[in-house]
Amino acid sequence: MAREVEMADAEKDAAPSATAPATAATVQPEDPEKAALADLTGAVSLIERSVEQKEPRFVTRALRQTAAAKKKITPKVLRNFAHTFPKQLEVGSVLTQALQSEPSSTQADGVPSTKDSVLPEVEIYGYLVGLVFFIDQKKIDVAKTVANLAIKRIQTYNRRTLDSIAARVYFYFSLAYERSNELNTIRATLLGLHRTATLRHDEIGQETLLNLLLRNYLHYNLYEQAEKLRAKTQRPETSSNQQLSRYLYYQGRIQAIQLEYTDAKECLLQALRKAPQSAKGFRIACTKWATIVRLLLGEIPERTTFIQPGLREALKPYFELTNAVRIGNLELFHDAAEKYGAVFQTDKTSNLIVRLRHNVIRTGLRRINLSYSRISLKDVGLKLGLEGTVEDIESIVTKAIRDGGIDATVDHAKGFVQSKETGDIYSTVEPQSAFHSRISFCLNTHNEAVKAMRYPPGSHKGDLETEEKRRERQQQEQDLAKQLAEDDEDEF
Amino acid sequence: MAAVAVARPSEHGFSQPTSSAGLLAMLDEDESVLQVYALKQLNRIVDEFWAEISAEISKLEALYEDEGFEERELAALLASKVFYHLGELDESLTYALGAGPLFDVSEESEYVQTLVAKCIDQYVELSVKANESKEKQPPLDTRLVAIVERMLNKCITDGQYQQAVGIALECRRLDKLEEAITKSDDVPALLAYTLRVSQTLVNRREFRHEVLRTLVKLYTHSGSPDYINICQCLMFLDDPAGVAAILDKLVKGDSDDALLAYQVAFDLFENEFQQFLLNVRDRLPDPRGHAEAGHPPAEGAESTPPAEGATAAADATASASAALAAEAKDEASAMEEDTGAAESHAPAIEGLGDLPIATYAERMTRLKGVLSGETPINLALQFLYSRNRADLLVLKNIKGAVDVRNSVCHGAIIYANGLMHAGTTVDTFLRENLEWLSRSTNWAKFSATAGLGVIHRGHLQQGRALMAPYLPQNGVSGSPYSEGGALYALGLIHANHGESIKTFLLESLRNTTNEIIQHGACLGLGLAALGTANEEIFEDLKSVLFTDSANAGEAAGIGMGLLMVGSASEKAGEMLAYAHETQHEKIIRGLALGIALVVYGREEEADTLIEQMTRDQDPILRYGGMYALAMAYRATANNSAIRRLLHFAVSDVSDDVRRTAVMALGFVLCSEPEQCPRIVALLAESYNPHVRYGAAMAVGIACAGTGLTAALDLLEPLQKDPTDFVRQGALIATAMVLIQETEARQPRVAAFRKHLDKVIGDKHEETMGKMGAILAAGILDAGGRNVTIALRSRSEHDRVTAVVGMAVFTQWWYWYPLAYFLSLTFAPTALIGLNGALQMPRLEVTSAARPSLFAYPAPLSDKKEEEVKKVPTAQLSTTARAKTKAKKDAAEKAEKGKEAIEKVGAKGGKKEEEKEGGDAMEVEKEPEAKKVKKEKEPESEVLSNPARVIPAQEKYVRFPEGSRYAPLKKVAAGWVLLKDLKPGEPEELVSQHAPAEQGAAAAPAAAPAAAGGAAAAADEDEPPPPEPFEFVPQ
Repeated sequence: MAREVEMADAEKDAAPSATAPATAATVQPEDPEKAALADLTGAVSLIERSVEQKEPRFVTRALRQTAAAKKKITPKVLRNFAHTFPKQLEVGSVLTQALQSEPSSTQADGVPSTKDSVLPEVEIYGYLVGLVFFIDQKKIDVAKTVANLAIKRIQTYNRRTLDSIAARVYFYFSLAYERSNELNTIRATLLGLHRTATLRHDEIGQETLLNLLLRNYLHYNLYEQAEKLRAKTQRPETSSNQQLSRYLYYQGRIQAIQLEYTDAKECLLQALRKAPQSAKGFRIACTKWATIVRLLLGEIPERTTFIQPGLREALKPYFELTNAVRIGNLELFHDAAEKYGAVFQTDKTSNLIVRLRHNVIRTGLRRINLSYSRISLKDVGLKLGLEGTVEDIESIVTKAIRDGGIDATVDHAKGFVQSKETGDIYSTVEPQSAFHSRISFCLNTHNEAVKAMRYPPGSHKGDLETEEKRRERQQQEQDLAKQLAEDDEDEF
Repeated sequence: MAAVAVARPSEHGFSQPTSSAGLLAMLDEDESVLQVYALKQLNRIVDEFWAEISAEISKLEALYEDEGFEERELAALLASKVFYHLGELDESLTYALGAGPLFDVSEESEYVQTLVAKCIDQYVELSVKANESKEKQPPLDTRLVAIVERMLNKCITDGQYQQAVGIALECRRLDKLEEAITKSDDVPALLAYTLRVSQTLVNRREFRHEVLRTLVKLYTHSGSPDYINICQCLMFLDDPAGVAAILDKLVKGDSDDALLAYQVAFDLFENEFQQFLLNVRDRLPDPRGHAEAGHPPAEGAESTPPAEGATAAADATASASAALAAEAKDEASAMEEDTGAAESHAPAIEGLGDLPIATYAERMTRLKGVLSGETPINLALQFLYSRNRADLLVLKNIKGAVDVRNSVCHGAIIYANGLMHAGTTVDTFLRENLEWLSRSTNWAKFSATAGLGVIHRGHLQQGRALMAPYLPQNGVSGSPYSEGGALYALGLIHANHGESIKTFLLESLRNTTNEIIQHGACLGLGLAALGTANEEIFEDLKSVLFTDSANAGEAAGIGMGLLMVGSASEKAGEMLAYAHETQHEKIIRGLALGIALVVYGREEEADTLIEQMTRDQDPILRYGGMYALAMAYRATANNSAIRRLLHFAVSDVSDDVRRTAVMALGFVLCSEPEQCPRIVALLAESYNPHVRYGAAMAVGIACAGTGLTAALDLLEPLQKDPTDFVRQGALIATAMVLIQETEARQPRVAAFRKHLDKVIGDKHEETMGKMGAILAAGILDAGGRNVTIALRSRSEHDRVTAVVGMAVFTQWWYWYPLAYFLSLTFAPTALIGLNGALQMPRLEVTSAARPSLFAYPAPLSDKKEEEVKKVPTAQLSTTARAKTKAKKDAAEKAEKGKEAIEKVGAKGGKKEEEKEGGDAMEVEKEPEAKKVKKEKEPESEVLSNPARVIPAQEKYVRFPEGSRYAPLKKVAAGWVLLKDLKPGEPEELVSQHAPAEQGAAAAPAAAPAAAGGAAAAADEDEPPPPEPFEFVPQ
């Protein structure tokens, strides 16, 4: 669910038309409302079961169900749901009050709960449902108050069964503040919560909060702070795939800004791989960054990257940019950068794109280097579309040679560039290392898949052989032994 | 904390700083004013910028190290906070301590809470280390101590006394413990809490003793001392003098005090610590009226019966089988003596009428009777005898189903019979099947004879007389096997209370050179003198050992162990040395077990010896090492012991050692039965059958008598294991777990009984499995269905005899006769109410639960056997409860009918019975109570004294309001002294049918078990000419 919202979030940035989730749900016939309430109560009973059996799987399932049901939630459903909570708990009244502003004739028709108490998990779940609803309804202020109350309640508990629900609440808490552009005000709260989660070995909370903090810092371009925090905190060993891919994404971004392109590329690609198919927004954002980083590394992403279904539109600016770099045409590059400047600005990639210019030149140089065994510096300047004196071009070329971008020598006196013969790459260890990296990647994937498998306890006990079967088997074994012995005798 | 953090940004001057770099740079300034300012600012924002500050942590450290810097403490505090955020709690604590007063313990922040917790942890670790290692430790950091003490004081002032006690115990601070207890508002409750905690959670023996000493001190100083608990403590401390002083004081007080003294004595007895009890007894002053006020029956038994027994036996025919029949006669004469003894105190009670105005001497005699075990054993015996519900039909069916020529199964049935009737004195089955019995030869004869000892366990007065036929008469001895068996039987009868029989057994041992007789005598002596550490006996056993004969040597080894249980004497070294010398595996094994017994309960003290044994090259000695671990750490759930055992369970090269290591886990974990199945679960799936067997037995031992579902889940697949001996172990273990469980509480009982029948009757089943099933059937109905297997007493202390018995029982793997040791673990599940004269008054208690929850299993009926031949002992199914009820009713009627017949028969019986009978007639109304129970299923039932109260039932049992008697202790089980609230009125006593009248005992006991026809048939089979009956009226 968290992923979906972020997806919606990112999608809105990329293609504003793609968002319209919950608004349509208000005008629905009565049946879906009942179904939605049933979904919510079903989720509650799942949570109760999970707490009772200490089996976190059910909470995850409950949260998935909620994600599916959230579009169906109407004020009325929420009001009815709020009524299922006992009176002495705040959650019911908070939700009802928050709904006061709803311009609806929806009076709760459910019977108020007679229960004395509910599990803390269920209580927090109540907050969560309200929070999700108000965020979807764009009632950010209401969402913020609900979120604050929820956080306050969570802080009074110390239960590990609560962790995954609490983590969701943290996420929406942060989202609500992000929507109202007040992320910086909650940074201290998040840090505090993160500390608490670490002390209590609340792993899911720890991961979620760390990601939220990174997001928080990056929102304000505080890359240095983010990196310091990231470097100083230990991540728990067992992490959920989703949180891990986010973490990798943030890490990739930080590293890209800090010029560690190789690491950044690895992180971003890993994040892309780990991200679920349905998380389109996340994948778009990730692909954008990965594209830039790869371009900065001098690689050219495959064309297929940009024509994936659903991503094509969003990735168009980057496609054009890549094209410019691929050709090594500065002019084209400037055009693209100018044309999509606003997009790059919102994507926070524009400062990286500035760095790209240098790469465009280098790619052009390399192309020239490959095509010509000898070319005058002046021609180089013309071909690249560079303005300036021959001296300027000479310095650019010499720098490219020194950086290892091209393999050539410059003849200063005569003013030309002489390319060197390219050697046979298959005589080097290059192919071997390429193979090695691919193999190790496959092995890692395999190992992770094995680790992710779940073995239900006691499943191997079912196939115990019965006494009759055992006797039969023993009989057969004896017969076989006898036969073998006889065969042996026969041979002699 | 987060809430505080939220408020912070608005607090400090500059709003929303995005970096602390500026402040950090200020730390490099030369001006200390600037540095201090930076520190102060950083301290305010550290929660938000710790990641940034942590890069400059060395600067903070340098500032703290700088002696000249005036705000060193602030630097320390800041450094501490940064380390805290970095997760380096050790460093953080060091700096927090360095911060001195700036580190405010009373602050409610997470930082302070975490560090205080860390602080206490570290203090605990250091003080434990300081306490445990011998060499001098550097003194603790005073700042650390100050913080811990501050926390302790805070607990005390806040009224959280239990927490204070807990921390004080963890920190080994007896002074604080004392303070917490004395300052608390409910001192007795807290004392009881501390006692319980110290027994269960303090895992170091020495320190536990210190705590107990403190507790005793506190108990005695408190306003109304709780003598029961004080004496328990003193017992753990092995301080007989203290107990004796308290008892003496109580006996000298008023009648209530005297009652309390008895109660204390009974409670002490429950822990079955013979040596200690005898020490207490010997320290009590000699009452002046010792001679006249009824001499202790133990002495009487010693002085008179041999002659009588001898004459009775002389009359009897010499053959072994006939001797069994002759026993009845023998006992008849012995009974006269018993009646005499009864008479000697009867007038005293009758003369006094309702209220026992006991003199000091009288009280003292009674008290000593309790301490010597005389009275409680007698009461238990009466209970087991009168309430015996063993179902003879079960045995009959087993006997019918098993091939007669299979000697192992034959023997197993005899063992099962012994266990089933343990302590009930009912040997009808043997009498009815004399011819069948005579198939036992050689060692089987030995066991058969020894089985009588189990059946008559606790029959202290008659023991010698009962065994006389098998002992050498007039210098002529019969078969050495039966003689050896008889000596072993005597040991079993007198187990743990063998003062009276010791000399006889010792003489028998000295007078023989036959190794079979020596074997029996060694075991018998070990049992009788259990834990007394008697030098003389030890020397004799040693001389037997040095003859280097395998059978005798093995028994001598075990006997030495039994004798020295828990003494941790250096004798163990001698034994170990001899174990290295001898060539006989049997002797080594006996000695190995013996050594293990010597270190019983010694915990860490035994570690050197255990280490030595577990490192030995000889697998048998390593095997003994496992037992030593089990014994030394019995019922402690000690982690280090468990770790060591698990290590051996998976790494030793010898199967025997591995099996024993797993089994030993059961002993270590018997204080926490819920843990055991979980811990051995993986081992139960081992590829190695020995390990699986060990796992089954471990669960059986640890969860005995609990009926835990987890345990049964683990054992169920093992019952169908491909390896025969694993099945055997699993069946026995399941029986141990399910003992006394009813179908209403644990539906699997019925299925298990059915499974046993199937295994016994299955012609494909291997002998091993069959044997296990037969023994399991015996265990399931042990002690006439009135005992449970209890390795721990109600005061949650281990019962030495029981644990030792269980350990030796597990040896039956090598030596079948040792299976009888299981009888030592049996504890009668009775509520026996006693008045000041230690007699059972008429008393009714209510059990607020459906009767069927705790009822006896329904007896089998013969008819059913005819209908369904295949499964003759099939029990009621859960679905057809109505049918069952009908059946029960039928059985009930049959029983009553039978009793009526008896009544008629009794009139023609011996006249001398009548005077006892008159007594009995008054109160035997039990069947009526039962009838009420069966007509409808009420929510409660009324039990009459002595009542069968199984452990799970204890919490339902209440003494009714407005009853004449008030119990002295809250737990309604065991021996409970009753305070008479209406001392003026005449007391109605429960009849005391002494089980001495053997012939009579057999018939009525068989009656409730075998319904109508079967019993009648039994009567026809064997009409003993002068059958004495006890008169049992309706």
